[in-house]
Amino acid sequence: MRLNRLARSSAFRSGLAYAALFTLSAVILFAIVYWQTAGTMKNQVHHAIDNELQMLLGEYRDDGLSGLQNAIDDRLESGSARTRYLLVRHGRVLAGDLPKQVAVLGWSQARRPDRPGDSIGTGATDDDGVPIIARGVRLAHGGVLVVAQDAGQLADLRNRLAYALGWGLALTLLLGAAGGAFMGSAALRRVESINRVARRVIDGELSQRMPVGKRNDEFDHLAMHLNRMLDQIEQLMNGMRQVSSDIAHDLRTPLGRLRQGLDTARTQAGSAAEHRAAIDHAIFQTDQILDTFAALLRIAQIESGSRRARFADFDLSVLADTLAETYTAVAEESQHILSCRVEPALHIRGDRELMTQAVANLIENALTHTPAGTPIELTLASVGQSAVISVTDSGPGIPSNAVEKVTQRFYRLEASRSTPGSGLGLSLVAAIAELHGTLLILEDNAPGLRASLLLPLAG
Amino acid sequence: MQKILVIEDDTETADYIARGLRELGHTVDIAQDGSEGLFLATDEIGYELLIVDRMLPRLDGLALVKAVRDTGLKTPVLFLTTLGGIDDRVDGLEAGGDDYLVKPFAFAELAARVQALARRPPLQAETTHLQVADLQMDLVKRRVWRNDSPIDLQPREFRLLEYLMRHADEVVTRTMLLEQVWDFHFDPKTSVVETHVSRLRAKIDRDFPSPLIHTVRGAGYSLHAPE
Repeated sequence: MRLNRLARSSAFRSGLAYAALFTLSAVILFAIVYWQTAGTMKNQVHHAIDNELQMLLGEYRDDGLSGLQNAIDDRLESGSARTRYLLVRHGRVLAGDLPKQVAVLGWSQARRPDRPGDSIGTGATDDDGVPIIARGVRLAHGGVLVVAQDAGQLADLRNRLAYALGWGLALTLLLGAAGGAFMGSAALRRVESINRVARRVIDGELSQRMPVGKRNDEFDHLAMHLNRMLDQIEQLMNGMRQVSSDIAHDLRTPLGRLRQGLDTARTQAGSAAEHRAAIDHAIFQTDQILDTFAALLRIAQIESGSRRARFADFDLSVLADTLAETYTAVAEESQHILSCRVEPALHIRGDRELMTQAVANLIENALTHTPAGTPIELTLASVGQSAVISVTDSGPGIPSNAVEKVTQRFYRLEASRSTPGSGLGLSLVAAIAELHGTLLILEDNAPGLRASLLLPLAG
Repeated sequence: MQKILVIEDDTETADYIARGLRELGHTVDIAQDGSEGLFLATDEIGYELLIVDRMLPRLDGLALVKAVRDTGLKTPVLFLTTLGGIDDRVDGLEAGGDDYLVKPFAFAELAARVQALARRPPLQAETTHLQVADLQMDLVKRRVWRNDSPIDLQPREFRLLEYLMRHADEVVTRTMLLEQVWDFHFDPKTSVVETHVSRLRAKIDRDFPSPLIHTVRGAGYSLHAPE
C-alpha cells in the first residue's frame, strides 16, 4: 500500500525519469568514447601493419624470396612480440609464426594460438587463441606474405568499456530509483501530514491547522497559506453562525409584538378606527422587519464585492458638501449643531451611492446617539495621498471594550437599546469601507466618538 | 386613464397590483412569464405602461425590456426588484427601464410612480420657467417668486421645489424625493425629507393664505393650486 503510494508519488516518478535520462546520456557517452578510442587504435594497428609490409616487400624486391625469408626470421628472433608474420608458397610455410589458415589476401581478422605451433580453429567465435588483425599480399613471383598484429588490446578495451558501462548503468538506475524513492517519500510524508489535517477539517474540526516546519520551503509556504485560508474560513463560519442566531433572536421580538398586536386587534378592538390603527401599527412593524432584512441583504451584497465593477472616480468634496447641507437642517431640527470643514476637489475612486450612504449613516449615528445640544463635526481633508472623511461628536462615545463589537451585525450598546435602530448601521459602514479597501476607524474623541474613513485619492 | 401591462409571475403580487390600479381607473392586463409578457408588450394592444418584475420564468425582466426597446417601442417601464438587490437599479435603467421599485412596497408608492411615468411629458425644448398658481420659478436665474415677492431658497430647497413643481398635481412620495432630489438610494433613519419639506413650506406657504404644498396621508406630498 505504502509502496504503491510511493510509486505514484510525483517525486518518485520524476526521480525515475531522471535516472532514465542519466542512463541514456551515459550510454551515449560510452558509445562516443568507444568509437573514438577503438577507431584510433585500429588505425594505429593498420598503419603499423602497412609499414611493416612495405619494409618486407622492399627486402623481397632487393633480395628475392630468400631475402624475405631471412628478414622474417631475423625479426622473429629479435623477439618483437607484437607483430606476427607468415610467408606461404605453394601451400608450404616458408617463414613466420602464424598458422597456414591465416594466409588470406587483404585485411582480415583471425586468431592465432597462444604458443606458435599449436593448432587452432579459424572461426571468429572460437574462444581459443589470441585475436589478430592481419593483411595478406600476393608476392610478384608467387606466394603470400601476411603481417599481423595482436588485436587483444582492442578487444580488451571493448570488454572493459562494456563492463564499466554495465556497472555505471546499474548504479545510475539504482541511485535514481533510491533518490526518487527518498525524495518521494519525504515529499509524501509532508503532503500526507497536510492531507491528514485537511481530512480532519473536512470532518468538521475547523480549528485544526497544518503543521509548519522551520525550513521555510514551498511546503511550509503552502501550509502557511492553507492555515491563513482556514483562519478566514473559520472566522466567516463563526460570523455566519453568529449572524443566523442574531437574526433569529432579533426578529423574534418584533415578530412577537406584531402577532400580539394583531391578536389584540382581533379580540378587543371595536370601532373601525381602532381596527385601522391596529393595521397601521402592524404595517409599521412589518416594515421595520423588512428594513432589517433589506439591511442584511445589502450588507451581504456589498460584502460579495460585485459593486467593485461599478467603481468610478467622483468628487468626495461635493458628496460631503451635499450631506452637510442636507443634515445641517436635520440636525437643527433635533437641536444638534452640525458644522463642516470640507477641503474642496478631493477625488476618490469608488461607489458614490454607497459612500453617500456610509457617510450619511455616520452622521445619523451621531445625531441619534448623542443628546440634544451636542456639537457634531463633519470634516474632509487630504492627508498625504489619502482623503480622510470623519464625523466627530462629543457625546457619550463607545466604551473601549465595545469598539471591536459595534461593527458586528445587530450589536447595540446597552445605552442605545431604547433608541430606534436595527444595530446594522455601523456594520453597513464597515462593509462599505471594506469594499473600498479601507477600514472604518473608531476613535475616542475624549469625550465622544470620532468615526473616520481613510480613502486613497484618485489620480 | 391608462392601459397597463403587469408582467409578474407571482399571482398574489400581480393581483394586488392589478386590483389597486383598476380601482384607480386603469385598464390592467397580467402576463405570468417573460415570453408571454414580451408577446403582449409588443402586440398591437398599445400599452401605455409596463410594470416588469426583474425575475421572471422563461425570459427575465432585463432581457424582456431590452427586447421591447429593440423593437423601437418607447413605452415607459417600471421595474419591480427584490429586497436588497443593490445592483438591480442600475442594471434596470441601463436595460431601458424608466423607474424601479423595491418589493415589498406600499401601494401608494406604486400609484405615485405610475402617475409620474404616465404624465411624463414628451421630450421638449428645455423649460426655463415653471409656474403653479402664483408661484413662479426661473430655472435659468435660479430665482423663485410667490405673488411677485422673491423667496430665498437654499440649493437643495430649490431642487426640491423644482421637482414638486415639475410634478404639480401629482402625488410625490418620500422615496421619490430621496432618489430624485438627494440621489439617496437608501432609507435614511432621520427625517431628511420631512425636515426639508417643512422648511420649504415655511418659505413658500407660511406668509400666504392658501398653501400650495399638501401632505397626502400615507403617501407623500403634492403641490397644487388651491381648489
